[in-house]
Amino acid sequence: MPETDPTAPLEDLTDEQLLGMHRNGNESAFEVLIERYRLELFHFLARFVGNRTSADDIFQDAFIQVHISASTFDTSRRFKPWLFTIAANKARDYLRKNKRQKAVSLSATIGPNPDGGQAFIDLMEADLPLPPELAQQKETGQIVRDVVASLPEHLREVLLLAYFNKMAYREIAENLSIPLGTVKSRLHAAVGTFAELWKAHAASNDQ
Amino acid sequence: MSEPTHQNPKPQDPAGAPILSLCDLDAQALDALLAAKAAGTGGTGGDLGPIPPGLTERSEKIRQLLALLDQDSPQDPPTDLTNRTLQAIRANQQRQRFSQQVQMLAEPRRSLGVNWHQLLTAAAVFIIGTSLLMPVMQRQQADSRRITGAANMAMTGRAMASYAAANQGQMPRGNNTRPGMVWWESPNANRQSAHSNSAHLYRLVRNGYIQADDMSCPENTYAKRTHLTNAHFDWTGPRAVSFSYQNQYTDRAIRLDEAGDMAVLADRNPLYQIQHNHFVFDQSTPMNAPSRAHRGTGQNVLAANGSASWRVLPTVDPFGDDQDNIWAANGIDFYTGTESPASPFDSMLVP
Repeated sequence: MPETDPTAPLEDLTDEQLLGMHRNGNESAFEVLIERYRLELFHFLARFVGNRTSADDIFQDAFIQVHISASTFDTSRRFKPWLFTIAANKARDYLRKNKRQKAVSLSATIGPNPDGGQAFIDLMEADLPLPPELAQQKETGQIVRDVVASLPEHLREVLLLAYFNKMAYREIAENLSIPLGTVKSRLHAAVGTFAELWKAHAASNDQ
Repeated sequence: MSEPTHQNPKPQDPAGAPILSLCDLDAQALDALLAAKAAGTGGTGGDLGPIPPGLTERSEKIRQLLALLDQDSPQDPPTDLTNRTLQAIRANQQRQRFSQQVQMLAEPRRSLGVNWHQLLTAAAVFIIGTSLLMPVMQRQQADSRRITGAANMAMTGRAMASYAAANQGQMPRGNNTRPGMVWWESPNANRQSAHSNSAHLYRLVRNGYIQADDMSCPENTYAKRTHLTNAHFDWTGPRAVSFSYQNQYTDRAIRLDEAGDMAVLADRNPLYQIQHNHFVFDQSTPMNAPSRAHRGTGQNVLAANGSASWRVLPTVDPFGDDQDNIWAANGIDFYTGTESPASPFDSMLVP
């Protein structure tokens, strides 16, 4: 971990430096760390579990866990992936307990179907209603929210981490403890399924 | 709307929702866009990376599709979320501390690593074991002291033989040994004209035949407290004398080599109690009582021929004609400290 300049403002320190100071008893450092991730982590959780109230609770649980496990964190590694791993685990526990899965369950698999084939979508051939065609529709945001929420949990998680939280595939693989190829296949499936569900929602709204 | 390009049946979850993957070209375009976004070269917010060459059209399609995700903009969290999180952490810390305290109070015995049942069992085993072992150990220690006493007595016998060889065959015997003289006065290490029988025995020390410490019984704790040398004339008091010696207040001295198996030395005579630092005859003690030196179990006895042996009864039969009580003079049942053996070969071992 880089040496911490005691005179530097806390806001200028890295996540890892702030966590190191917190381990040495500096509560202000932890407050800065929480505030730094207030928006990003909350938005991730809100999209993941589809519920602001639950996202609020899970956000607090995640940082309680960070506080408890701070002494075990290897400060030579990055803090953000660790935080999101903890938060994602908490969110999955929440979904499992509350049976929040919608159209697609956790048991859904990506890969060869029982007949040995695999279903693909070619976006160039799929007739997707895309902006700016729908840009003016006020309900677009709600539809997107519903479609994302109806994705299987493991696909939704990868899509959110990659798109909104800008995590590299390798980081996602490390955080979720899955192979890099699985991250790719899940992401491809997430986007493909999102496209298919979006098309179906849009078609039903047109009727 | 067109159908997916591949006609294979779509994998479905139990709820019936389709799971579709991207075709290879779409997948390549998506990977390139997201890699650039992760690397920070694709702008900020929901912007994706640069469109890969050759996949421009597909990439634009994916960019438009993913841009839909930006339509869902969750509201920002409450501004007090950070403070509430800190409060939750503090509350959690308090709960943990309280829980630890309750656990410590509820299970104070855990620190011992054993429960009461185990502790009591161990204590019972220890007590029973000790009660069984103690008598054995005490018996072994008593045996050891008895054997040591016999060895000391045998050493005294050798010293006595040496003395006799240098003194016309006589046992240790000083002046003033006329019958009728008092022989049970308290021993005095510094008084030359003694009136104690033990002073005659002490001549072995005074003349350098033996150390005073070697002429003692291990059961007599007083003997080891004295620091006697050959400059002294007797032991320091009645309790310091371990052995009772053949009464020397007789008309004539006998030769050691003519006494045969006659007892000449033994553990302390039980007929004489010590009161106020003086010997007193104890009428209540039977004449055939064993010495008290070894808790009344018997006594070591030294014969004139130098053999030391353990005897349960205080009798010897040196000439094979009758049992001779080693404590008393034949025919005398009451003692005033002036009595003498009935004959030269009558054992009468006195302090």
